[in-house]
Amino acid sequence: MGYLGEFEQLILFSVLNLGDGAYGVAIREDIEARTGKVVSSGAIYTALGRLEERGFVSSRSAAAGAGRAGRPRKYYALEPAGARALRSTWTTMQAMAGGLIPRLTELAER
Amino acid sequence: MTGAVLALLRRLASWLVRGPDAPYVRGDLEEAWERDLGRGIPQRRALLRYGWNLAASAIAMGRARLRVPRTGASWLDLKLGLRMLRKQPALTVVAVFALSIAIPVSLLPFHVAQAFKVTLPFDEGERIVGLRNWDTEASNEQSRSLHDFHRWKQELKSYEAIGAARTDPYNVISEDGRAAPVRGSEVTASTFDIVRVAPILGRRLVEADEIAGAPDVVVISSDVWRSRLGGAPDVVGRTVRIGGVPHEVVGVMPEGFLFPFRDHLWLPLRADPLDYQPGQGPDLVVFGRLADGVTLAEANAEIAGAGSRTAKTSPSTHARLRAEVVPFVQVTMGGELDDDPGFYALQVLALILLAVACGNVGTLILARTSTRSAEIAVRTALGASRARIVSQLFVEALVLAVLGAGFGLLLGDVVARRIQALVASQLPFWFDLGVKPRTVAWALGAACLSAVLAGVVPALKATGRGVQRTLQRATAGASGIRFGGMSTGLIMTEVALAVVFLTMGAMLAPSVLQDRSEGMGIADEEVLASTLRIPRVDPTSDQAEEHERRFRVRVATTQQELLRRLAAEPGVRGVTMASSLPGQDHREVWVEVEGEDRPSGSQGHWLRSVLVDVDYFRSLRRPVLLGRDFDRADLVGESIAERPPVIVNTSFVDRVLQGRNPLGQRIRYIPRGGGEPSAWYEIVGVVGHLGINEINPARDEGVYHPVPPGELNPIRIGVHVGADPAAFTARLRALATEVDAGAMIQDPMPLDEAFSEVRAGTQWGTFFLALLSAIAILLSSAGLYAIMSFTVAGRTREIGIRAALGATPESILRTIARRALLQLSAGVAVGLVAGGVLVRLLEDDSAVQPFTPWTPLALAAGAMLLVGMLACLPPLRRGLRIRPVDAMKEA
Repeated sequence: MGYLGEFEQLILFSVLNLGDGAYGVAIREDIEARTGKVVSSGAIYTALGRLEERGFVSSRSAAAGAGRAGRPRKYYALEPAGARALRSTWTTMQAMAGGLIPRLTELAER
Repeated sequence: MTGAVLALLRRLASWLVRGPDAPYVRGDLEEAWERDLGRGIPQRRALLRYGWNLAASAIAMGRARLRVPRTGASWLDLKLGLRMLRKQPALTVVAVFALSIAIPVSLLPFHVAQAFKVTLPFDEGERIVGLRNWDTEASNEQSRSLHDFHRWKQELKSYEAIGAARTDPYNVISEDGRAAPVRGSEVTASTFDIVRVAPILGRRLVEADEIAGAPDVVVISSDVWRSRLGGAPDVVGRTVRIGGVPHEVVGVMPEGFLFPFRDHLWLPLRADPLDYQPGQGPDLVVFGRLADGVTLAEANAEIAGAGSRTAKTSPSTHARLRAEVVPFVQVTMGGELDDDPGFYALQVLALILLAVACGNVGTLILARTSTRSAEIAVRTALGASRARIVSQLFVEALVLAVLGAGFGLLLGDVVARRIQALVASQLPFWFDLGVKPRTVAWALGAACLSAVLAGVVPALKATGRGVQRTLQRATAGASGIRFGGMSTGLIMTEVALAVVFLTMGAMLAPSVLQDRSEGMGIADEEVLASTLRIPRVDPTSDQAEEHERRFRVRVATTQQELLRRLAAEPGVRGVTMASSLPGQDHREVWVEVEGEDRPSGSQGHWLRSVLVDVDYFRSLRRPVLLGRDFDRADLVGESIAERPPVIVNTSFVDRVLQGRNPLGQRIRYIPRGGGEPSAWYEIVGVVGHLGINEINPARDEGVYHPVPPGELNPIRIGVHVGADPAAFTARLRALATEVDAGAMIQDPMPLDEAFSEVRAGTQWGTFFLALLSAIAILLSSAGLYAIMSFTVAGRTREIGIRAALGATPESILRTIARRALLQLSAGVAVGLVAGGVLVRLLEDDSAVQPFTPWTPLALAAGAMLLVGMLACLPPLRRGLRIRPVDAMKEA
C-alpha cells in the first residue's frame, strides 16, 4: 500500500479538493487557506514528483496561464492507487485516534 | 527599488531553481506574485513572500536532486566539527580570525543604515514626522521656514499637532555663578503634545509662554537639574540665567528626554513671521504627529499640494523648493542612507570582501579535506552518500563560521560603542550604533553563507571524483584533490592586497608614531584651548543691516575685552585667538606664487592657512625669523587693502619657494573646483613650525593671515597658564560671562588633548589598515603554506624517486616551491603596480604624505616576499627530508 507523510497527505487532499484545477499555485493557496501553513512551490513539486513515481498521481502539462511570464502549468490528478493510499493512511489514523481525542485535548491543555 | 529587487529575485530564480519541474516552479513564483498584488498585499510584503518561496523552493528542489535525506546533518557532525577545531588549531585560528573581521565588515553598511531606521522612543513614536522644504537644486534642506511653518499649521489637516524648534547652545549661569554652555531649543508648546511626554516636576511649556512679553520661562532636562541645580526638589520657581537673562524654571523633563536632537533646555519659541520676509528668519526644525489613520504617503500628497500653491504665489522663494514629509529621524540626520546608490555599491563591496575571505578559508578547508580524502573514500565505500559527506563538511565549516561571527559581533560591538562614545555629543539622542538582534540575525545569515562558500564548495570538489580513483590514489599515499585556478587567483589577490594595505599603513604610520611635540613649537600641555562663541540672534527684516553692524561691534568688543582681562589675570603667561590653534585642524587650501608657472594639471601648492590675531606670534613666544611681525596697522588702511600682508613658515619657504627669498613675493588662492583666484597677498615675514598640520608635521607648509577682532565668531582661544590648564576653565568661563553674559566658552581642554582628539581619527584609520594588512598577510601566508604542504604531501612518492635517482636538493626545491613562489611573486608584482597607482593618487593628499612615498611601497613589497617565503619554509623542509626508502614504503 505505501506510507504517506503528513505533507503528502496535505497535497493529496488538496489535489482531490481542487479536481480539474489542481496545479502548483492553486494547491499552495488551498493548503494555506485551509490550514494556515505556508509551503514553498518547490516542495510541492518535489513531493508531487515522488507521488507520481509511486503512481499515486498523474500529471499533464498545459499552456501558460495569465501572469506566468509565458511558463506552462502542470495539472495533477489523483489516481486510484493514490486514493487508496490516502484513504488507508487516513482510516488507519482515525482508527487509532478513535475515542482518544478528548483525552488528548485534556492532556494538551493541562 | 521594488523593480530592481524583483529583477534580482527573478535572476536568482533562474539560477537556483533547477530540475525537471523548474519551469513550472518559476511560473508559479510569478503567478503567486501577481495574485498577491491582486489581493492588495503591499509590494514589500509580496516581495518578501516571493523571496521566501524562492529560497524554500530552491532548497527543497536542491535536496531532492542531491537526494539529501531529511536528517542530513546531525549532532554527530557538530561533534566532529568541534573536534576538528581542536585537532587543527592553526586552521581554526586563521579561519576564525579572518571571518571574525570579514563578517562584521560585510555587515557594516547594513548595520549603519539600520541605526538610521529607528523609531523615536515615544508613545507611537513612528507617527512623529518631519516637515521640510527640500531645495531641489542645491539638494539640501531650506530650513528658514518660519513662514511655511505657520502656513502649514493653518492649512494642513493630516496632523494631530505641528510644532517647530530652533536649536542652539546657550550660556547657562546657575545660582552659584557657574557658567557653561548647554544645548537647548526654543520650541512651540505643541512640541510636548507631539512627543506625549510629561514633565516629572512642574509643568511643560504652554501657548501663553509663546506670546512676546510673557515672563521668561524654561523647562530643563533631568541632567541639567541634577548637575547644575543640585537636583533640588524645590527647583520649580527658581531662576537660572540664560545668556544673561533670568529665566524661571517651570518644569523638569524625565531622564533621557532630549528631543529634538540632544537638548537639555526648552524655551518658548517666540519668532513672529511678521518680523521676517519669507525665506528669512531662524533655522527651524518643523515636525508633527500624524493624525489617526493618515499615512505618510497621504501626508506627503497634502503637503506637496500646499507647496505647489506657495510656489505659484511666491516663485522667488519657493520655485525650487519641494515640500515633503519624512520620518522624523531623517530630518535630524539628512537623507535615508539606503536610497543612495553609493550605499548599495558599498554593501556589494563589503560582501565581495566576505566572499574573498570565505574563498580563502575554503582553500584552507580544501587543503585539510585533501588530507582526509582517504577517510572520505572509505566512508563512501561503506555506503555514505555524497550529500551525507558534504553536509558533514558543511557543518564543520559552519562551526568555524559561527565562531567567527560570534567573535566578530563582540569585536564590532566594542568598536561601535567606542565610536559612539567618541562622537556621542554630535549625534541625536536616538542614535545607537550598538549591535541589535537584527544585526545578530544577519551575522548568523552571513555565517551560513560563509559556511556554504568555505565548506560546501570544497566538499563538492573533494567528493566529486570517482570513489574508485580516489581510493586508488589514497592507497598510493596521495590525495585525490587538486587545487584549481581559483585558489591561485585568491592567493595572488591577497598577496597584492597585503602589499597595498601595508603601503598605506606605512604611509600613515609616521603621523601616528610621531613625537607629539614635534612641529608644534609650543608647550601645548600648558595651554587651555577653547572656543568662544557669541550666539547670534536672527535679525528681523527691517533691522537686518543695523543688527549686523551692532552684532559685529559686540563680538569685537567682547573678544578684545576678554583678551585684555585674561592678560591681566595672575598666572596667565599669554593669550591669543585664531581660527585654529597649533595642533588643531587647519583649513586646506591651494596656492600659486606670482610669476611661477603652475604645473599643468596641478592645482598649485597644497598647504594650510589660518587666520590669527595680530599678536599671535608674540603671545605664543614664537618671534618671526625673517621680515616683520603683524601689527595693528595691518588691519586698517587702504595700502593694506591693496597689498594684504601674510606671514609664511619655513616649510613654505623650503618647499613652495625652494629656498628663494620670500619677502615681497606674492601668492594667491585657487578655489578647489576651479573658478576665480583670490586677490594677491604679499609675504612680509617668516615663522618656524607651529603645528599647522596636525596630522603630518612633515608637510606643514602654511600661511598666516591677520584678522581684526569681531571678524570671527566663533573663534578659538588659547590661554597659556602653565601646569594643569583644565583647572583654569571655571575662571575663563566666569571672565567671559562677566564680559558678555551671552558669551560661551565651548569645548575647553588642554591643547595637547585637543590635538590627540584631532589625531584619533587618523589613528583609527591606521589601526584599521593595520588590521586589514594583518588579515591579508595571514590569509595569503596560510594559503601559501597550505598549497606548499599540499604539493609536498601529494608528491611524496615522486620526490622520493627523484631523490633516489640522484636529484640535487636544488632541483627538488625547485619542483616543490615553483608554484608557490610564482604565486607569491606575481602577487607582489600586482601589488607593486596597484600600490604605485595609489601612491600617485595620494601624492597631493593631506594626511598621507611622507617625504618619500616610494619607500613604504618598497618596504611593503619586501616584507610580503619575506613573510610569504617564511610560510613556505616548513613544508619545504618536510619535502627535502623525504627519504627514498620511506617514499617507496608508502608506495
